[in-house]
Amino acid sequence: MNLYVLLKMVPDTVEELNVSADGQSLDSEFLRFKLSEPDDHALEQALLLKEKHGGTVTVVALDAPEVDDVLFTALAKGGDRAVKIPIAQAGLGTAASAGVLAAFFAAPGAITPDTLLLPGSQAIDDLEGELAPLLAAALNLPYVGVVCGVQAADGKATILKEFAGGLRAEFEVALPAVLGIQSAEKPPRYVPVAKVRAAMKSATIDTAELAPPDRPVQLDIARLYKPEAAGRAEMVEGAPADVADKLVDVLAKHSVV
Amino acid sequence: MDPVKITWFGLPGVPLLWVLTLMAFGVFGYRVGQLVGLLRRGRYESRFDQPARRLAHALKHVLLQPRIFNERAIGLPHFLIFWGFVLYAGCFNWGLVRGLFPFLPVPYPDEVRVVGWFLEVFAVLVLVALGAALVRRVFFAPPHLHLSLDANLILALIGLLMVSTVLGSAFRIVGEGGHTSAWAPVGSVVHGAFAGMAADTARRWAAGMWWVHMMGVLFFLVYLPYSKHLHLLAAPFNVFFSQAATRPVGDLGVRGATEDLTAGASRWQELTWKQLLGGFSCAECGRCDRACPATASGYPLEPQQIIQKVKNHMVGTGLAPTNGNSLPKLIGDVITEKEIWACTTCMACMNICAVWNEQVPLIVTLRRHLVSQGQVERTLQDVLGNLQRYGNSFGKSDRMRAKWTQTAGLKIKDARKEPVEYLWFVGDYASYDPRCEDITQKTARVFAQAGLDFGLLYDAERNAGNDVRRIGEEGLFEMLRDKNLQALGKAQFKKLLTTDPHTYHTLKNEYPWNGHRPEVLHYTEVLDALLQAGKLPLRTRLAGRVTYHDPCYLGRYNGIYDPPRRVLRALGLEVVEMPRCRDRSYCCGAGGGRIWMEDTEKIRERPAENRIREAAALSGVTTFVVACPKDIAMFRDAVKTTGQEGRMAVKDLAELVAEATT
Repeated sequence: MNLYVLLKMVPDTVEELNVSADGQSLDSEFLRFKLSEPDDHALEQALLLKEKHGGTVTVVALDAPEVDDVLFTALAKGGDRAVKIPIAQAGLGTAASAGVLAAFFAAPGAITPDTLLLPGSQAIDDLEGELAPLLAAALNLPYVGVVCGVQAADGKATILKEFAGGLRAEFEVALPAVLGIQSAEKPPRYVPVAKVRAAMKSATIDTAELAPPDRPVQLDIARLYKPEAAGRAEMVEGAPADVADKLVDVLAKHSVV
Repeated sequence: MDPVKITWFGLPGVPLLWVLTLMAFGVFGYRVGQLVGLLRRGRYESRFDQPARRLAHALKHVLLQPRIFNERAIGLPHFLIFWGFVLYAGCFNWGLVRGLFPFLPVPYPDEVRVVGWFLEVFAVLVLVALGAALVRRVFFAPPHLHLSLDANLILALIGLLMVSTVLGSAFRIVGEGGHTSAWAPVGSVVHGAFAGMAADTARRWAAGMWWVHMMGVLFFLVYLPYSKHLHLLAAPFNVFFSQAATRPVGDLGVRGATEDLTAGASRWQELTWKQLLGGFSCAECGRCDRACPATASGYPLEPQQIIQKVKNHMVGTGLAPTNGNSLPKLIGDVITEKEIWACTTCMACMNICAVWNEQVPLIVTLRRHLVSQGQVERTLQDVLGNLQRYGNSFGKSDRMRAKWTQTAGLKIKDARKEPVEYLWFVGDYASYDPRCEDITQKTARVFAQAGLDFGLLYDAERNAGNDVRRIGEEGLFEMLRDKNLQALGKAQFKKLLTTDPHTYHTLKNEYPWNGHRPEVLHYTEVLDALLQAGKLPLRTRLAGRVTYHDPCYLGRYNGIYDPPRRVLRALGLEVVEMPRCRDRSYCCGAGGGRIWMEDTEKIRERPAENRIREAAALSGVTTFVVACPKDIAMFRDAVKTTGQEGRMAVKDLAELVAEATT
């Protein structure tokens, strides 16, 4: 199978997130980026499919801080090829990212009849999970999202989805297709540091030169802010009679009685 | 009468002895050749450094056997049997040469009066020792002692050698006219039983006993390399080549390696020859199993079995004509993953092993293979990921590492910006664990009170890598180590100070300081020194009985037992020892990465619970003192689960010092 995994870097919420002075973006001082978790699952799913059916796993990412480490880690885990598109992901909205990726896959020979494109189903800065469907639409490929299991046979893929209430559903889709992965069949594997280091020494990251999008963002952020503290709860303690008195005072103070 | 000058079943003695000797030595040599051949198929490792130190180590532990005496019932018996063996082996060779070359102008050993005396005296001593060993095996067998037929056969065989010597002497006395001698003290007594025997018959019996003895030894020679008694041959080499002879305890480095060993071993051929030699040296005595906290708790690990399984697997598959596919796999079939992960690396097994086997590094080697294959349980995987990304096991930002200083309003020097005498390498648990925050703050205040000039690395500090290394993630250990060394290289300090014994061990013994290793001190050592120098003002004299738990990595690994005890006594406390104290201390169960692993199997009792019960049995002791942040987490938990809450308080030594100084 010809498996592509689309890797996206997202802000690491372990670090403190601050809004920068312009009130529209994250302060970059303490900002660190990490691989979006569903994308890690997409990679695992691709590796599982490769182990079962053979083929190649290609990981593709736009440029972002620490993305090289993530690409080498993917190679160390069993990826065959890593491609970096030297356009900064930070400046692009989801639609623009999808456009750039669509251009990448539009190259002749990129998509073969046994191709699966595996982006993560969502990201913390793409809660709608738009990337995968936008990409599928641009490439005119079938799309299934929020996938948590993939089986492939005879040019088709059987997709497992989980619904609320403990229900599961299976879908069949013809290849090539785009599958937004929520979780892989197994938790993402551990790759020891020594293997990542070996990959850094021996492997290379290919670059794919593409034209930057005309409209990097479709939506303008009006205001980015931290939730403001709401009113505080006040505990009224004491004997029942005292509590009743205090309660009346509080209600009177707020002009309720 | 010269025993070789007689004929047996029509065969003259000398050629018969030649045939038997050549056969026995032939089989022995063939088998030893086979076994050495197996060792040579292991990976190379240099254990040839500092031969003088190694020799001194080997002489002490082979000739004096202090570790055999750590179990009193068998200590003296084994010691006597061993020295009996040395005497008898020497005399056997002497007698054999004399028998094979009858023209040599030398007497038989027992014809030299003083040698004969020693042989007889030792015969009795060894027989008594054998009796003790047999009674122990049959009636008082300690758990995990391998009660094999093999062992009993060997005891019987040694007994036969002793009895044939004594009887030989008795028959000779009868054959030579019944003159007793002080040089033959035992034969002189026993000969009375055969007083009525004709002199000629007695002489034939004496010769017969010589032949029984010689054939017994020759049989022993053949049998030995096929039995657990191989330890007699292999253990002296095992002790000579032991890591501990020249390196820190439990060293995980392999010197002179010709291959990359970070991926560990999945086949026996990927272990080093020294790791393989351990199997031949194991006497199946079970000391390590009896000391192992994992075994005692009911985890599927027995350190002796790891050693034995590797040996049996190697001998079984290495010597048989093989079909590569159907062979059992070392990891999975022979040794299970659960066994490999159950080890806390507490060093109790190696500390007690009389042949100086190295169970812990062997287990780590097997873990390295599992890690290299990504076969790591989920919780552990998350921790390793956190350590890679954030440099701490808690998955918190590295900028939060010194947050405890802010919450306490402490102003502590930044050793990256200004010079300090002591650089306090705080460690993950003391820095991040909410259960330890208060203790860490108190420790800092005590240091400040004593006027200690100290500072921190703040967010540049990373986990030192002790547990990571023992999990088998060598690459991650190297990464953490290099980052720490880089940060330490930029800081200005004279001495390193740690609160965590695991960190202490690794900084002290596992970082390559290129000959410029700073002095590394545990805070208990520093507090002890401050108290002795009178720099720590004690305002409140504490009273009461406390017990102190020796952390594995402070005690067994680094031999620091007295400073914490001195501190406690200086505070006014009475230190009551648990039955298992100092180098016999019982692990809390957290080491070697165990603190991050989930117990999936049903166990009898967690090690920390066992330990708390041990302390609770001490009369009048209500405080359990620890000197390791992980111990706080482990034992406070165990106090709750054993129902000792309110009766036993787990306190860090620094908390008590803080109490006494305010």
